Amino acid sequence: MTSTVIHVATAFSPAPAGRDLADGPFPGAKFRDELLRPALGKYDSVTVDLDGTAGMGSSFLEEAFGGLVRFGFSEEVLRRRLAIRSGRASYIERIWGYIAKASEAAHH
Amino acid sequence: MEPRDWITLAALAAVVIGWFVSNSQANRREDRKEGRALIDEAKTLVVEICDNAVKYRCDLQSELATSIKSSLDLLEVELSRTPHFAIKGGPLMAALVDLQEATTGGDFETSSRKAHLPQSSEVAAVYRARNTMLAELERQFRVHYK
Repeated sequence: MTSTVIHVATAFSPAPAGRDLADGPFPGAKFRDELLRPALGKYDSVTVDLDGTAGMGSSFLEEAFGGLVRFGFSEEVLRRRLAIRSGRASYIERIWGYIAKASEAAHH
Repeated sequence: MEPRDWITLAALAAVVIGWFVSNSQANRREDRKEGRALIDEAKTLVVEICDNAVKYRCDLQSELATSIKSSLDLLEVELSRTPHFAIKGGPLMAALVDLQEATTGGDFETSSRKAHLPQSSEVAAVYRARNTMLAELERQFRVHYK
């Protein structure tokens, strides 16, 4: 089984913000499309390490991770292949909450 | 053993037991004081975060975005000092997640964001999340420190 770890602070930005490219240089959509989706396409297991960033808004997290569902990843697949690592437990709760909500919306 | 030896032993036992009881009460008082200080500090942070979030939403004070995110992280550091904070599905974690969503969700840090009216649903959500968090913090104090 192949795996990789994406450190958001060093591989992307220590201050990610916003949803899409119109919002700034390091939005959720860019992280999702340039790092997260390619990694999920290449590796069996992807761990995203959120430590080292200067706080992340819900708008960034929802676009980056909830957006995976909108791009065709099911919650079941993500629960099997995606892991979130963070010293802040609330980030992990929020991310899985966005994935679950996006999955619910996709089924309606 | 002589009767007076028993009396001496009983007196010694009473001193030791008394020391344990007094020490335990003093420790509980200290825990309560520390718990009160922790909860009060967290409540101050919550009010500050929400005041800034409302200014951000209504007055478009973009410079507050970093401060709001950073203060939310700091709040979580403080909350992690309370017992049972990180329990999955726990009420304090749920209140924090709601607060984070209300203050940094939606059009937060997007270029398309518009100034919200004070009576908008977005601002109401901030105040609702604030009050839920403040109430939960007090409940945590009652449960764990009294």
